[in-house]
Amino acid sequence: MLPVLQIGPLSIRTPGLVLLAGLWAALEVASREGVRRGIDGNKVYNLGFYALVAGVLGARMGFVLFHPLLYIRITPLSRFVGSVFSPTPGTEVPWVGVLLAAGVAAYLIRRWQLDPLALADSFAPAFAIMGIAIGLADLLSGNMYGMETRLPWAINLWGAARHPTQLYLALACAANLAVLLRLRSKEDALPPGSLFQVSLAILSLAVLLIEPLRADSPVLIAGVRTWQVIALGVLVAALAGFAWRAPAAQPDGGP
Amino acid sequence: MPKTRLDWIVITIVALILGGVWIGLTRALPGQATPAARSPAPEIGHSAPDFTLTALDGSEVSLSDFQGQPVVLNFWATWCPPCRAEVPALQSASESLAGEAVILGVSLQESPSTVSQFAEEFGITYPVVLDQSGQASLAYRVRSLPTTYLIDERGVVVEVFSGSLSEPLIRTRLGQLSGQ
Repeated sequence: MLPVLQIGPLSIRTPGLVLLAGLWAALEVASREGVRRGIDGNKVYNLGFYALVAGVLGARMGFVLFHPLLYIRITPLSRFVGSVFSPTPGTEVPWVGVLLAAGVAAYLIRRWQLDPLALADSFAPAFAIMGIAIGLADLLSGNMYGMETRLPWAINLWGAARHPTQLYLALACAANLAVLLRLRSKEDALPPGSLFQVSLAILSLAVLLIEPLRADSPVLIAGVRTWQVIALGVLVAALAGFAWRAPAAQPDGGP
Repeated sequence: MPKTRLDWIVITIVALILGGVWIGLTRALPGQATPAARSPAPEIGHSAPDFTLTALDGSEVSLSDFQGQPVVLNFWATWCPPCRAEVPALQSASESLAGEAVILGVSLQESPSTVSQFAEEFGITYPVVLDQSGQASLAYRVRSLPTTYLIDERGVVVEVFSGSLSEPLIRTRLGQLSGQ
């Protein structure tokens, strides 16, 4: 854990730095993957960037709307506006951000007349890269920490030897990236959108497996972990997507 | 690789069943949710990490000194506008909740003279300690200011707030704690 890197008088928040680097790399890769599929790279980059900004702002505005008491008494107006828009981690409603980001992405896809499936394939490795960055940033900040364990690869965090769940996530995303790179060479034989679906399936499977090892895993009801339920939903949706697009019967003469 | 729709439907159903069973088998056990089973961490349900810092009057103050009554642990700095905005609410709450709960301010990496001057200017009477080395803010993973931890009388973190607090919110939450 190294949340702050002190270089002389300069305090660098390492998790933020890793996330920024991951974001930059993810958007660059998505842009290049877009060009490879005949999509304007700038449009891919801009779509990712605008969706991200919409997601961050949406999550923040969601928190303000759901917790008006926190803000309504702040005066004067300049302080109120400053408090509403100040970047304060922990004051987000993620699903509002996801909805807004999806809305902005859908609007831009329509406006720029982009092929959504080719675009999804272009973003598949970008999501894996962001997953690696999130895992490493959590390792540096001490978030998403694991259960106590005596395994030889345990890390010392918050006063105990724990599962390095942050590293498990980063490794799962790295494995996902490796699978995508391998499938990429055979992409012509696959229907558009397949890489994205494979990526979703691997990531959700990883979350299903890693989540029980987390010590700070949020619980939905009766001990059932929230992220496992979401991951199972995504996994089933990704597999159902393959079922939906597969032919009803094997073509004649097929292997 | 599966070829037909039927193959994929079977795989999807099997994944759904196995996933559901896995989620059921790996449910969080009731013991894992009890604060006593959890190590100190700045997370809801964990015991709040203890610290000892110097107060404005030069005395040593530990968080554990206040065990037995709810604590509103507020990390702040004089240069932070939202922190300045919430000071009147914290001061008012500390006056009205005297004897029932404690407001403890932790000033982040600022000189005693700067903090003293600020406290005098804003009429702060609740205890303020100086985290000059940043040890407490590191232990609490404070990434933005103000950040406030609501700690119950057992010393367990029950809520974490990022951003300015209002007096009604502080009162409501502390009222809920006393009612537990």
